[in-house]
Amino acid sequence: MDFNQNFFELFRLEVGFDLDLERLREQFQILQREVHPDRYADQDARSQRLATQWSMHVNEAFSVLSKPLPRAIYLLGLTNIVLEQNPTLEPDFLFEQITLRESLDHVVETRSVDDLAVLLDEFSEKLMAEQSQFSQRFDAGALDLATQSVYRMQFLNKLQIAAQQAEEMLWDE
Amino acid sequence: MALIQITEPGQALDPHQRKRAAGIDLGTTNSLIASVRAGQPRVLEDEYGAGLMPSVVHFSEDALLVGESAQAMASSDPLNTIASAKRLLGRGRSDIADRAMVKNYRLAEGDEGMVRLETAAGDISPVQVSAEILKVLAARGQETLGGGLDGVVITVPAYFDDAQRQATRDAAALAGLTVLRLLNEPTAAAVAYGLDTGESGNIAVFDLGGGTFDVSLLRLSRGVFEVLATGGDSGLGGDDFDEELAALLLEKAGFSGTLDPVSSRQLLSMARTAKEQLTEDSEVKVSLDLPALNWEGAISRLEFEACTKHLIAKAIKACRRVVRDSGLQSAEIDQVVLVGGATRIPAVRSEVATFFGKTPLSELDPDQVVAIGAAIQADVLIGNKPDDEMLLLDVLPLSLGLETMGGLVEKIIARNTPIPVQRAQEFTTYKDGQTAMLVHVLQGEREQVADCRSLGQFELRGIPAMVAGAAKIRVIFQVDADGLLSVSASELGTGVSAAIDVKPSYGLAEEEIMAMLKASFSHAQEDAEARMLLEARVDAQRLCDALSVALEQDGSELLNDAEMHALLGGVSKLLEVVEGRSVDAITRETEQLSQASDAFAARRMNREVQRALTGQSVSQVLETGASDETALSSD
Repeated sequence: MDFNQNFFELFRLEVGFDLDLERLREQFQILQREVHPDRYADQDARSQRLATQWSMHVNEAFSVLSKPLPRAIYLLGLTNIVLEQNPTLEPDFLFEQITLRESLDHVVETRSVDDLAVLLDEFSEKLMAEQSQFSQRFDAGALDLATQSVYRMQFLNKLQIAAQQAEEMLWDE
Repeated sequence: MALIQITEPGQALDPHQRKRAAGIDLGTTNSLIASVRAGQPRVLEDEYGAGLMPSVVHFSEDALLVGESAQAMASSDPLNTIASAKRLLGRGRSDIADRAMVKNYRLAEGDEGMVRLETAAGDISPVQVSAEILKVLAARGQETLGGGLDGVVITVPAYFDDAQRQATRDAAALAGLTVLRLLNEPTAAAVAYGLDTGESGNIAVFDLGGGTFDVSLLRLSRGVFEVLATGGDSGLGGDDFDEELAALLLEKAGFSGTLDPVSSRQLLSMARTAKEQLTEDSEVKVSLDLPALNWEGAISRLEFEACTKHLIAKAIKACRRVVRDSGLQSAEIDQVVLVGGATRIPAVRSEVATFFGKTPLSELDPDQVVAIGAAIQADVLIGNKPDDEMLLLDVLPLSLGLETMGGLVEKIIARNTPIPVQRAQEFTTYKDGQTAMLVHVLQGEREQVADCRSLGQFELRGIPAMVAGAAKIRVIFQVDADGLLSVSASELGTGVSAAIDVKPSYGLAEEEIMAMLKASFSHAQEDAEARMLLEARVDAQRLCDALSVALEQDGSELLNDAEMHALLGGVSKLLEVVEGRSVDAITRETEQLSQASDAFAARRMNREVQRALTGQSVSQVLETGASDETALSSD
């Protein structure tokens, strides 16, 4: 194993957004079988430390590739694109975001768990649509457009987290 | 006539002999020890045939009682009889919201540090109480297995935070045990079930013990137990059901005053008995015969369920969150396993069944299943099953973060991230000319510092004076496979650095542990020295054994003659030093040889990984070839 390999190479997967997640998990487990510190529990402290370093690396790679947004950001990173902290987005998209935020606030005020569930579904549909948009753009080599998709995914992801937190809050009541 | 010599069991010097390993379930209410013997994991029993030992310690000026005999003192001498100490483990005075514990004991006055309880034997920490329980269990293991334990796996609730895990490790150190791994209780339960039935699929483990609640979702495949998500409440358990029932009894008896400690304990124990009976019967008769109050009446299961409904609701809420964190749909969960004595309560069972839409499994004794799983894992980790394919992949139960401006928490590692894990984040200075920075480490899900648990803080000093925002400070969080955290910080321009193993203010300081260990050996100073020598020798021997085997197998392939010669020389030198009595010399030589063999170890591991990955079908390898091209063209 080589710490300089990219995460796709590490798991022997084709570079791209559409991953075979089952295959990723299989490869992840194969690697952990070799490098997890538990495999070295009866050996000296140094072997265990070494194993821990490698196991951390494999976990990091898995964490990044197994989730859509980190995977997309990582793919852009491989092409040397660095994301901006405060990107410029199209006014239409921003306006839609504000509207979605407002509907979230409204549902939270009414304390309706059912309405919130409907909204959560809507958010995740939008997120998935944006993901497939990213995938197409990235595959076509349209990197600027793909970067725009990632910015949108970041927004939608934050919105989804906010909605999930609101849902947990409603469960508490 | 010469007598035939017979070696004492366990003294044979065969390096391939089975090692003595055990799993310990250090529970809130009861504790157990189990071990794999003749291929079968079994709970070890005391001389009366009891497997479960009450997690109770009685302190007096001249004697120490543990287990059943301590439990017997609970009613007559409640303040010196410490039960449920696990609920205080790793807790500070300020964060005990635990009514029952505060009511039943005298908390020693003190500063913010760890909770201590006043007893006739002086102020006692929960770590010491736990250590006493561990010692008795270890002695049971030693007796049954015919020699001292080479290593143990101790289980902790998956939802234990860093402070609670550290405290558990401290207790084991105090009891003189070698801990192979802290294992999460639900994972241990899954191991016990998984190996029994050879299952694969998604499994939910619902673990409601005496004082803690955990729920975990695991994915089983070919011997790998991968935890997808875990959650729970480290302050919810069967004890709370007893408390509620006791309160209900008082209400029905029309008692509104405050009970003395003796009556309070007796009432609790009656409530517990009634709770257990209500598992079978729909109504039980209760007669309270306490100094403060006499009452006779009946309690129905329905009344019990009404007054404990909110407790079950709390547990179900945690289940909901865990299912979501796992990314699974409820329908994808193949099996549900019940663990912990409190899952015998019928309402708990039915609510769990309703939530998951499945009848939960409970073939294995819910009191024993965690210890059984721990014993299996201990047997694997100690090296008794070198070819075993079992591997446990666990996650961090609670998010870790740092305090930033305005009392907010910046999360560095999110909950349910697979461990071991390392994450780094860069921060900068807030003011012009700022030369120091406080690194405050927190654990929890909330945004405000005040709502999270403080694990510790340290200062990074000597940052060169720069304008605000110019310094770059990188903070690195590392969580090992036990779920224990260490943090370091460095200024990137100058390399100024600071680091801590996060030793929470609620735990014991390293010096404190050393002092306690020394105190326990105070009767014979040479004992402590002999022990250190023994440990140094074991470490050295272990290195020599492992390295010799490795050199024999792979030395000629992976090393040149000079390297091979140097390492072989190192081994024989260390073996020579081991014969001596100098702890320092043995430790020094061990460290040197270990460093010298680092590169060899790395090469071996590297080759193993390559082998594992290339041991795949031709088509997969071809696919990989294609992917390499893609990677190049996208550059």
